[in-house]
Amino acid sequence: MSGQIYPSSRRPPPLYRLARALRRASVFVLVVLILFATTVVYSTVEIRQSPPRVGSFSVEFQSNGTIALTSNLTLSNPGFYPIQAFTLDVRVVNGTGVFLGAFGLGPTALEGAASNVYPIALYLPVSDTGPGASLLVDSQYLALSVWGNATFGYLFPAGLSIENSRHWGAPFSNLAYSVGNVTPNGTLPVTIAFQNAASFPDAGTLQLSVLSAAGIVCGGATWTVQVDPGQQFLQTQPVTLSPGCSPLGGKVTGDYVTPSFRVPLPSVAIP
Amino acid sequence: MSAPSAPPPRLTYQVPSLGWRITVAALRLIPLMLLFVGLPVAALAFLQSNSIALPLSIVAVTLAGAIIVALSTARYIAKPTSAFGPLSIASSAFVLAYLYYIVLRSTYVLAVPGSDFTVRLTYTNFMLCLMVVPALSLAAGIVTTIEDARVPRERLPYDYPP
Repeated sequence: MSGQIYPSSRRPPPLYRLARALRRASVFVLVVLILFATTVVYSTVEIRQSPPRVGSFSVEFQSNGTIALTSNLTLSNPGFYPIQAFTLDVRVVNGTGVFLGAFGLGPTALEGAASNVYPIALYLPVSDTGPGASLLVDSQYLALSVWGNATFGYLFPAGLSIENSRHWGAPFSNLAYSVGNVTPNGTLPVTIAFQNAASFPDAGTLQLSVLSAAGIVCGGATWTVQVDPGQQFLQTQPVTLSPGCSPLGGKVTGDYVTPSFRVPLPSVAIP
Repeated sequence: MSAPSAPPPRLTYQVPSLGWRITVAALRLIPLMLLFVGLPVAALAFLQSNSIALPLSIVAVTLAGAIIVALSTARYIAKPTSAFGPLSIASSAFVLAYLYYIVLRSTYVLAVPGSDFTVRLTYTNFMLCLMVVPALSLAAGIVTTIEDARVPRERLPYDYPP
């Protein structure tokens, strides 16, 4: 089919030009988006080749009555685009589902072709009344929940979650105080037994107090402990009682003391 | 006596025959089928073979790809006619609907089998940006439909210059 028309000018009519411009804009946007998606995929592949690294954890008692798990997270972004709104949340509950502690990082950003090291510090309170007290004396499995969120390439929010359980070795695992009979000279033999199932040594003193049923301190004693990971501790020491103070029906309380902190240990009733 | 006015410009056009357009459209089918059906289905089948749950059904992707290819082919064949604008609108509208269908399923959760590891990827924003492409084509189709209704064959010398 052929033919001819007689337009007012050789220039394409306005509606034709508008339609053509819209089609060209459509193709331009498509090409830009395809190039963008290609570079995002390439950058993602680059990131996969240098995944985040978590350093080794160190565990230590803190002066504020907590056990601190500290490490660091190294994040590398060799891609073209920044990692934005990066957040990391960690939540720890014990084997019975009781919340122990949490850690949050961010939101922060990491530019393209950059890397950064982020500190991780998880503080688990170990007061003798709080839920974390069992961390001192009960080796157990802790449920670890990790959530991470970030936006990559401006348009791609992504997240990951990890549910994991980690074995926790208690520094005073199966801690037991046992008391003998009051001797004629007014002393009470007290035996302490535990195993250091933690990854760090117990180095300090155990300060024990023998309390009467009314809560009056009848006497006390101090054990020096230097127990490496995996080792057992079993020692008996006589506790001199105050005259007239009966420990029957009372309890034994103890503190783990170092120059920098004091951690109360669970008490044990005296039958 | 005034000088005679210049004659109006005469623009000619040469529209390929229907048989030729059908032949070229048939040849276009090959890359279009690869692009809109072959590649997406292959990607989804690859994911499925690796025990990765699919956000989109293979049947839906195949069907949508076939419809897009069919509309695109019809649009190419009908380009010299007044059906070109409406077919452009239909084609773009369908692509918009297809992209919207993908947007509704654009949060992809991947639970790695045998682990406690879950990855969630959202590409809603990218798909919304991608919807600009058929939206612009839809607008172009509307403009072309109006142009064809107002002045039939006006665009032919520019679409099919001799």
